Amino acid sequence: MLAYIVKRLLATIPVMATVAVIVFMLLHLTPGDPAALIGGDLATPEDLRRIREQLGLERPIAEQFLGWLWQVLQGDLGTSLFNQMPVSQLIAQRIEPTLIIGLTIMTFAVIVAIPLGVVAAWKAGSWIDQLIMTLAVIAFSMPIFLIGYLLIFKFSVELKWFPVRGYQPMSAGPTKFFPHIVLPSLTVSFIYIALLTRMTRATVLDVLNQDYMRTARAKGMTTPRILAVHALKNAAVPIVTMVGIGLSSLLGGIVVTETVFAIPGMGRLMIDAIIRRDFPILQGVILVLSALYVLINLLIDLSYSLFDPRIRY
Amino acid sequence: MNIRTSFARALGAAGVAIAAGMATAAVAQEKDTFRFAASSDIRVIDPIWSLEYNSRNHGYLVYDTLFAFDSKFQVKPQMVDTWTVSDDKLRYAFKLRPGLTWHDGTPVTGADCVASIKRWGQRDSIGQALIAAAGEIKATGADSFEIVLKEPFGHVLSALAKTGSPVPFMMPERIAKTSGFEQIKEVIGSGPFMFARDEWVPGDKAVYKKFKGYKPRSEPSDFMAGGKVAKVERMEWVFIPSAATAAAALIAGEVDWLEHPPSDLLPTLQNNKDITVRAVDPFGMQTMIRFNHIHPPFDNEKVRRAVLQTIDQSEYLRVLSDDKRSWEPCRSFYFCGTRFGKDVAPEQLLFKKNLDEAKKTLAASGYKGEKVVLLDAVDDGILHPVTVVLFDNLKAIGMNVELRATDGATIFALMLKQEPIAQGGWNIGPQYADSTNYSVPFLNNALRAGGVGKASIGWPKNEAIETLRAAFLKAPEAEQGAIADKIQQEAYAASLYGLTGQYKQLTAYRTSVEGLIDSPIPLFWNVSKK
Repeated sequence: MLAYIVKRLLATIPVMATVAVIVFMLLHLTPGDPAALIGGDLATPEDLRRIREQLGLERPIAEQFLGWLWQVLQGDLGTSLFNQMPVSQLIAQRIEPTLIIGLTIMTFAVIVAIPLGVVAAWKAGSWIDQLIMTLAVIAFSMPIFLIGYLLIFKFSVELKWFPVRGYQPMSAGPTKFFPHIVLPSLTVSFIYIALLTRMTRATVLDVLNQDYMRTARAKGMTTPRILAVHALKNAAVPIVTMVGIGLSSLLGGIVVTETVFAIPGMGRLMIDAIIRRDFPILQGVILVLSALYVLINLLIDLSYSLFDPRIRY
Repeated sequence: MNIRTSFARALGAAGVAIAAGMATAAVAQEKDTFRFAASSDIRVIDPIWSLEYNSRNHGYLVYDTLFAFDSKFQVKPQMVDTWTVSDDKLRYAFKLRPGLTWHDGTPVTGADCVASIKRWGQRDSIGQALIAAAGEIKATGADSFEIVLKEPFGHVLSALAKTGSPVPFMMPERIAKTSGFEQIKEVIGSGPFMFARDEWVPGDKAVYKKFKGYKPRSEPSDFMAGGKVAKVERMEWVFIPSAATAAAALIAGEVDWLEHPPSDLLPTLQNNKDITVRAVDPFGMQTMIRFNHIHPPFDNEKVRRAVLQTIDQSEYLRVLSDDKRSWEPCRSFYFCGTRFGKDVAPEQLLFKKNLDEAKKTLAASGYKGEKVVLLDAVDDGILHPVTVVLFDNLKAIGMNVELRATDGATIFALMLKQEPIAQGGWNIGPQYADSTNYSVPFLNNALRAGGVGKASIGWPKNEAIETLRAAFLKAPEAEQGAIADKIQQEAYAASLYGLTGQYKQLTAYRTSVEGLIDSPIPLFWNVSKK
């Protein structure tokens, strides 16, 4: 297994290099000039040149890229063009809320969706199955921002149970930390509960029709044991894959939720950097997210052997 | 009652208790902390290097100025204690107030002020003019300095009191020696609040703490002048990207002041007894139509005039707000209600849309249906609606308009491009500005008419206007008004740019807030919470 892990980690190098080149080139070919935003409408071409020079944007693209690459190899992701903070510090400020909320969403989704999916598969075609699937379609179809605003209105403005906005780190203590993650996590959970429920139902339904399930029933095993031990374990690989993909996409993809709840996460950091053409931040964030994506996929691949003994690395 | 029911009830009770505890924690807000939900965040903390409004607003918290305007537009001393002007008006000597210190505890000196003025003069147009007019700016003692002019300059004090970006904020000499084109590394001011850099999360919040060593002036606070008394221990500048969430945070009491509430939520906020909604900025924003004067067809005055004849300001203002109290038609380039804001426009211009007349003017101009690129910043809540109205009007008079729609940052970079449209240039686009610079003839960038290199975007060239602007700089105060009027008349005659009205954005704050100062800039001294 160690050899497999090393091989997979080495394989990430060309992936990351490709990501780095594409991101760098795309950004620098995009119209928009950070110097223009700094210089204002009175800036003369000479002023803009001086600002660009100070920002290091006057150098040829290849030189800028190589300079940035050399920095990255030394563990330095660069400095923001606007606020002068190291990109690594900005990412460190933002990664906790994104990771915590992403993990909370997926944990909650797994706890709710898997039993629902299993029950729906078990009672396939019944009113219970139809009810669960209808709820899943509704949850999947509801825009995230709408759910977010509805939750804010009910639980923050009316009932005053949770804060409207913001994030408090874990270090601030549970009474400050927990209230801030409840509504954002709940908001995005709906869509993942719906997705996982449908996925679980489909895979468990497939497993339930296998011969060995008939054998298990013939041996007199109880339904809960059949579902939990045999059906779910055999259906786990696609479900775990789905969880992994969901978690990966949550890391960079909860921009809407971060915006609705004013959470300073990675998604907003990235969007702000795009708007401002703050190239070092954007390059750094995408690189870190790509690395996390690759790492999560590796962990998911490794976890397959836990559910399916035929898979060996 | 069985065990299961008891357990469920106990769980329910625990849930309620936890929720109540959470609620208390969530809404608990220290009386000494003031939270301001701004319409955008503070991304650059050097108010000289960056011309963004928010960098300037951050500057007013942290830094102090030598002079300041009061509500009657009179220049009042701020950091300066006394000053003298020689009879020939060429030597200005200043003495600082006793006891002024920087946030690091060191005293403010004349040398600090000299270095700060010189740095500001690298980036500001009136600062550049002051530096050019000055033979010498030097410290004359630990707490004094002087400006010796080579030629008359009628705006020494008002330049040092200016409120538009960049503001001549004072910084310690070692910091102010940084080039104006390079960002400073340290934020050390002598203003009423200190910047808490370790708590700064760009894109989310900036925190300021009361500077205990600040010695406010004894006069009562009056606009930018008078005593700047910090009445709260901590000021948090928070950025809530969703306007609806920001409004909810205000209703829930999580923020004290919401800078720009969304217009569709204004009725909700107005009906809330805990919230006050009003315009704090007495002048608001002016929206305008900028032409690219260096390329056809708007290098032709008649084509520009044809566009001005399509303007009915209320049409442009109505798309910004349906509340008539928040806007007013205004034909002054300097903002109505300000010191120079007189209406000297030709009769009916800008108030009465006349498409037939505009078509005739366009036909007489020689316009042959050339493509006109209209810039549209689709993500800007002010520019985009104005663009839509402008697009309709240009079409209505038969112009061949192509809309170039993209995000505001790209549009801003595009507007600086001087190339013709075949090479990605532009012809026409809306813009807006607040009154801090545009209410002063020399600082109104859109009135700069020196052509390429000596004008702002659009690069108009008009010698009469430039001569008047130069005269304005040298003129004594008593003559400045008449020159300002003449500049306006020349600008109308040249159809320099189109005014589409004055729009006052409403602001909303908790009724517990006291002492808010009416100003185009959000000010936090004098503010307290009941």
